Amino acid sequence: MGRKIRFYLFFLIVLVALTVSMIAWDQYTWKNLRSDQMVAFQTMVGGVGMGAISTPIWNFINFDPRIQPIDDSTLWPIPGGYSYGPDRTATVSYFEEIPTNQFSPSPPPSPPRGEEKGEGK
Amino acid sequence: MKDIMNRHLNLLFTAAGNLIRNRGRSLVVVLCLIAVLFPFISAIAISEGIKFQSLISVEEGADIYVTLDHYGSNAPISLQHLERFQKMEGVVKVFPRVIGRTYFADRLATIVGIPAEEISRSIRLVQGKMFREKGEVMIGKALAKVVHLQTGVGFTLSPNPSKVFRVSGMFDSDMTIWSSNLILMTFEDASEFFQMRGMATDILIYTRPGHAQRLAREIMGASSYRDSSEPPLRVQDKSLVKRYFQRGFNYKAGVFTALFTVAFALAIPALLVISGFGQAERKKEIGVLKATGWQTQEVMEMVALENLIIGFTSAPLAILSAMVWMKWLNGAFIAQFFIAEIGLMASFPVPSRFLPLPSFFAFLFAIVLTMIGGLYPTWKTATVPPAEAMR
Repeated sequence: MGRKIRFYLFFLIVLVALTVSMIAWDQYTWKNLRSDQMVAFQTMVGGVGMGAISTPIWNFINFDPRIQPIDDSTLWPIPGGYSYGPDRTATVSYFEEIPTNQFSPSPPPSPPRGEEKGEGK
Repeated sequence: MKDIMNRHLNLLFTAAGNLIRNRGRSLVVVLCLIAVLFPFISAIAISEGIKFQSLISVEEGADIYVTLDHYGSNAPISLQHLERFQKMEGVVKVFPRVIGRTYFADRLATIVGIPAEEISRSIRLVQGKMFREKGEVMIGKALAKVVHLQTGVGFTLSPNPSKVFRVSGMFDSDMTIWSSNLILMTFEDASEFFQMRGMATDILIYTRPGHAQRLAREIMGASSYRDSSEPPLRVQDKSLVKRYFQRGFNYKAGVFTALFTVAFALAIPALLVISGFGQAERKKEIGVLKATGWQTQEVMEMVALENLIIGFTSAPLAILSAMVWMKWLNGAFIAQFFIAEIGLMASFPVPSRFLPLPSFFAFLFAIVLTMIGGLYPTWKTATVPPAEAMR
């Protein structure tokens, strides 16, 4: 076995070992990350921001669907058209409205006690 | 047993020797693999970093968010609802919030208004102090940099020029990616600025554990039967917000990985087949090996080991270069492809998290796909008579 081959295989072992240790180090630092500032900030503001965008440009759904779960850029200028928000092309997150069943068969269920018109007044 | 081991080791050394001898070809393949793996690893790392911050936002957020429903979209809600929500059983805390947007110089900023009593004293500031007086605001460091703002400086914003603000302090930019372009003020100041007094963007309700869903149903139910000219309420509880989170990240990351795998799967064999780089030489080599008594199986094993070594060289190099780019160069130039609207150089630390699984996939992609690209042509050459292969 030539010297070059030995050196290359040794380099390979070092490279793989270094990569594994770097991944382990990254895992460790994230686990021990001082996230107390993030927690304090989000607790204070009641949770702001969810998506891979730093400002609510074009629409709010990419930024935080809690604030506006509708992609209103599809509502104009052609209703139902494609999204005009360029940030909808963001590669790592994509929020869309979660459909909720707003249909109920007639007659509707009876109202909760005390909520009927005039009751309790 | 020892003989078999020695035979495999000899094949490994021969494979490494081949790669060193054909260093031009090996280098091109390794560089191509790094170029293909690098964006994949970077994208997944950024996705995981943002996911981590996003999860904190979801977990630390309110249990229920209540707004009005105007034509199917969220709309501002009257503060008159506060008292009713506070009286509900299981409710711990209720507060109104204003979230809006405005341009600050040429930068879009998020305005957040919360009641003064919600201001946390434990927030680390890079400059100044937490606001105490009317008109005082806190701003993100990135935003302050745009116009070289210092604490104590006053400013107005064109949506309401009569409202004068004064910077009392600046947030540290490594808090979250959403705080870098944020202006935080009291609820009253935000209401005055947007001229929406008596209204909030949403009302945040914090509940005792296990009460959120029941309360959300109660609020919705009561809203349906309210004798009021006000539009219906829109209620979002934490389970819904978690679903936004899960779908928002997993769907996109899944699509990205799938598309990338397809692109990758096509790129490597196409590269090897179309370029035909070193194939004639390789054919002759295999012919010589077969003529000197090598079995097809041994030739195949040697080529597989070559590809394994290439995979084990390129995947770690791609992971390490992605780490260096993300951690030390803050994702310069490439982060903008994954985080929208941040420009060439992000004004905040780009979050990146290198998890073992995507790294393992990087190894797997590199090895499996080079095998696919390398083994078939080798097998085709190794099964023809040596004289024909050497011709």
